[in-house]
Amino acid sequence: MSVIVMIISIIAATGALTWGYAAVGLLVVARWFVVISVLWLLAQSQRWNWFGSLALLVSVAASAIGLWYGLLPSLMVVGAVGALIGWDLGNFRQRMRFAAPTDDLRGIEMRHLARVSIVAALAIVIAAISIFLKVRIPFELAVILALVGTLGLTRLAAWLQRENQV
Amino acid sequence: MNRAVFVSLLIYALLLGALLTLHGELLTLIIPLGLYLLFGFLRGPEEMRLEVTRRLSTERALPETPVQVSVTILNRGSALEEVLLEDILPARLIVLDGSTRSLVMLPAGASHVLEYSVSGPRGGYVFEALSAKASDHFGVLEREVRVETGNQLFIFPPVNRLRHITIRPRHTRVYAGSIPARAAGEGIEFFGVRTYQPGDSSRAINWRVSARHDQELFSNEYQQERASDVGIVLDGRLRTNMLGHGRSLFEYSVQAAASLADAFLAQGNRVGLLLYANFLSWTLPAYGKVQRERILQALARAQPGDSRVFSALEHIPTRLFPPESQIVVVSPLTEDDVMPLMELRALGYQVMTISPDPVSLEMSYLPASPTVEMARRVVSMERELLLQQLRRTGVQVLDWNVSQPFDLAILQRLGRPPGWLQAIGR
Repeated sequence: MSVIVMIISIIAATGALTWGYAAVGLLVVARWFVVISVLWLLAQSQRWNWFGSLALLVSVAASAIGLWYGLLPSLMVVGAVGALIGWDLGNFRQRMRFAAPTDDLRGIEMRHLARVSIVAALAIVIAAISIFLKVRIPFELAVILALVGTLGLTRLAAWLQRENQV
Repeated sequence: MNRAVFVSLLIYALLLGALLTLHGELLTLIIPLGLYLLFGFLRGPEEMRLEVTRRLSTERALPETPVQVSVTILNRGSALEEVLLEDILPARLIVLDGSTRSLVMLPAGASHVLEYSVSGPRGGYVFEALSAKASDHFGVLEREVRVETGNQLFIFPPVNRLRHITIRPRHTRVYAGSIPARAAGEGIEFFGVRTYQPGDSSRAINWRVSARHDQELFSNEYQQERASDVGIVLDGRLRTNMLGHGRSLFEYSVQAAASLADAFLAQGNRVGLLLYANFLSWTLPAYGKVQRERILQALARAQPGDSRVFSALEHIPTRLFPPESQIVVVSPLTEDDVMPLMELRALGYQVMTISPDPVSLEMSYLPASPTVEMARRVVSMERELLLQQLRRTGVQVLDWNVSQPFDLAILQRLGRPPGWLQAIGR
């Protein structure tokens, strides 16, 4: 089940980006997303675990650039969310390889898919609202938000790393 | 890279991008990534408190015999959404059935059982720990603990039951045993005749000798049977044990040493073991079943090795063995080993050498050809000369063709029926 969802997510992510870029005539870039899609699916079958992270990085960067260029925001958000789910499920499958055949694989898989679905649904809803409302943030507030966010993220990353070392 | 750090870096990059381009819409992309991190962070595992109990179907097994292992993991802490449990197996043990790891959800107070069976070659194995790696469903926050357990499994060498081994050390101990003590007293084997003493049993009177003398009776004397000190020296040098094609005689030597120790202890002797390899490993002499266990454990752990210091047998520490006791050397032997064994004899020890034959083992896997046959004849002659040299110095030598079972080889060459069997003439 998770494999099917993963394939759908990868295709949805790269498809949305391809569509978004092709719609404004950037066909060369759009073709590259098709290539990435094929490579990503191939990487999953070949167990190139590093490729998922690279694909997520590229997809998020492409979505950001697309938004900056003024491409269709909904497609860019779908691209990023799909890539995130594809990356997560790729890692999940990697972890599942450690499971014994006697383990409750189906139960673990279903719980994971439920969590991922909630995150994806929430993310799309909130992103849609933010796109629909087009909340304008003054520059000064944006700077403060960015600084606070950066500080918080840096602290979070440092804390997580420390926790993992312990 | 840690998944949480990776996602955090992406968010950080998007924030910077939004700030630099002054494009607020970029912040929209942070929402899925932020939610992902947040969910993982909220459902991340807390400190793990696991109680692990491992049970083995047996702690002493024979090589390649399946041993059932059951590991019960009880979660004494908070619920764990996803935990990968892995029992860390000692090297060289092979899983025959089941799995040593399991990916499970472990609610608070719940337990999980890992069941599998293993087998392996001779050795002493310690199951050191169980590794538990818990994470949230997204793998954002991970915690890993090692729960130390420390169960032991000994895979002993096979022990052939040897019934009787003839040894004649010069010195015996005061305790009763089965070795003729070269002294008159209670026993079964005839020792001599002496004049009748009041208190002698009438059954001990030698009527034939008495008939030849007037007014005097003579009694038979029997040889005392006592326990003795036996030191077994196991040669673990690579240069003597390793043959071509990676074959080794060491396993045969270990098997012989185990069988000998078992037999000598069963006869009531005090037995010690010296492993002579890249270092000296000494099992102090003692009696009985506990000593049998100690020696078998030492043999289970024994590994061949080489060192410059112990390249020849001249460094056998003779002070470890009581004077004039029996020393049994289990070694394939080389030319350099003759002198040290002769020196042991000169010091008054009774020396027996059990020598697994390297020539017969090599011949078992070499292709038959005139050249090989010629080489075999030359090497066999050299070996026979070496063994003869030893025999001439009074060393008892058993040249063991390893294709023959050890108990059979011993029975043919060194077997001695017990006194009661001799007494009834069988």
